[in-house]
Amino acid sequence: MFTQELESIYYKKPQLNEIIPFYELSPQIELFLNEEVRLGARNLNPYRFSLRFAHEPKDVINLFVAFSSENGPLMRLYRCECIDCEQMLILNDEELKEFKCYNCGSTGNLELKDFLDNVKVIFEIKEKYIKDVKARLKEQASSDASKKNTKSEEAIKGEVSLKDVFDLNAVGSDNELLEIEKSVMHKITFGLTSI
Amino acid sequence: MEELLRTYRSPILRNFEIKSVLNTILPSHIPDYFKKLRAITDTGNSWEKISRVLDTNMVEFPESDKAIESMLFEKLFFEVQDHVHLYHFESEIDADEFVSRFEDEVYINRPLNAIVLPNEKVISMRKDGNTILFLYRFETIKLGGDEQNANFYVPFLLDFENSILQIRLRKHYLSKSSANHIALLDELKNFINNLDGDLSISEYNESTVHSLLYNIFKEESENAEEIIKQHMKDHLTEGEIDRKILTFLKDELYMEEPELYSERVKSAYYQDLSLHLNPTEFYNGFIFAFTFLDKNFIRSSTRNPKRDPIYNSKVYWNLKDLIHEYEEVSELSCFWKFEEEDFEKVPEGEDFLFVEVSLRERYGSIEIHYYNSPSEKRRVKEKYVHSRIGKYLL
Repeated sequence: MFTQELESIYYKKPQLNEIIPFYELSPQIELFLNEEVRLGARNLNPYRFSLRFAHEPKDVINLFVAFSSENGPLMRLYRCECIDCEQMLILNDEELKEFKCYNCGSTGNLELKDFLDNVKVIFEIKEKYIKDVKARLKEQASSDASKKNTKSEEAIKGEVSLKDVFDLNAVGSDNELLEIEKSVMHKITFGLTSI
Repeated sequence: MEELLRTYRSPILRNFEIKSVLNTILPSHIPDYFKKLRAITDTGNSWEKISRVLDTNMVEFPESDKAIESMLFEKLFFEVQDHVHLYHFESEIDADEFVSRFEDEVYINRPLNAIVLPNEKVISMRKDGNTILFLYRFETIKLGGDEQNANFYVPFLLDFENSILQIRLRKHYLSKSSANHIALLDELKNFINNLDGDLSISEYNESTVHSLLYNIFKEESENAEEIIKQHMKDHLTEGEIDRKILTFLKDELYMEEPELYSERVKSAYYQDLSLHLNPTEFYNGFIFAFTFLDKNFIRSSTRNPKRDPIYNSKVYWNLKDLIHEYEEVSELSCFWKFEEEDFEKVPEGEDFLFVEVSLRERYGSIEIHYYNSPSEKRRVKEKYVHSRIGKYLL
């Protein structure tokens, strides 16, 4: 069900194949989704996926952004640590724009590049897909095939922060993301050295 | 060559503690050091007085001053900095080629106490084997109750041998700075990326670092298990324990598939043993804290406030299985004892080196916190830590 959804997104946006072709991504994401849900995850961590299957984190994030547009099976959220109190925070678009740490009350300034450097994207799996995976896992509980991974060389490096996501030549980005970029980051999107 | 203007100003010296550093090391370089110090009658704080003594010594005994300068540089660059950020960098060149491109810069081998313009960032650049050291002055901050000026240095090191960049800083200086941690690292990374076209920094994937820390966690907990096994009652062997457990589960509890659960029972057996072991049993090397993020970023953290082994803690045992399932650890603190000449050896006797560190991913880097800074033999300690990390990084 999950991968069918992705297939239809790929069908609508064939240029996604230039990032990672569907035939390559499809078995990987299915395996990853099963493994992660089995471990109790309610979201997919693109950094972990890129390490697991030797992709560039940027590519994975770009795809996941596409999978979380409109009616996609994922929902984009942001994860950051408060720079003052180190509290871990999970935020949606609105909360990110109006950043305020619930723990210490410190406010962040989205217009500052260093604030964005600290923000990572995560992708929540929509409830019905989690249920679906869990049901299937139950069925095949006996044939557990999760085997150890081969660590990828490309993915060893390449941390991607939010600013990089906005910097991407957004093949997979949706309009909403571009809107945020426009509204809150006009000052900083130019002249960044990508590291 | 034009004689450089030099003076030991207190914002430089303020980086060193008086009692444990300056007054400990200077007497061996300056005869009658304390007498000379007492003879300074000008008003001013202790650092200002020491700077007078050093200035006079510099003029009278240039050779002695040379030794003092290089010793202070070493301490400033390595020993006093308690946090180190590691990044990977790409480069086709080596340190010789790199340094040849900077030949004409005034800061090459410039003394620490050279008089520089207020906005000059690079105080000195030095080559050491296949590494380049940059003493970078981030800004001037105010320290202490009387708000004395202190130079806030953020030295960085380019290790061409291992393609590793180190950005080094002192955390409590950062708290007095106008910049935050990320802004500081950004400034440094931008500066370094713009130094030379043949050099570019890349950051670590967060998951790479978490998996690296897991591997070290695994190594350490296996070591601990070995020690625990040496303390099995009645000299039982592992095989005997396995058999006893299986027999019990099968014959006493009538379990259908005892094999599925025997490992868990064994883990409980080890846990019981370790909870009653003396912590000193683990003193060759151990974990004293770790943090673990579950799949939904729920953080579990355990830390022994005495920086003693955590194997006596139930929290460790409860989380251990989960960590092995996820194969990720987000922060790890260890005590490591080691032999200077051979890192593979376990030191014996009372005379050994040790290092206490916390490791974590921070803003795309591997952040290493060195406890007990400043401490002697810092370079070899860092070499040891890098050897432990290097095993799992490309």
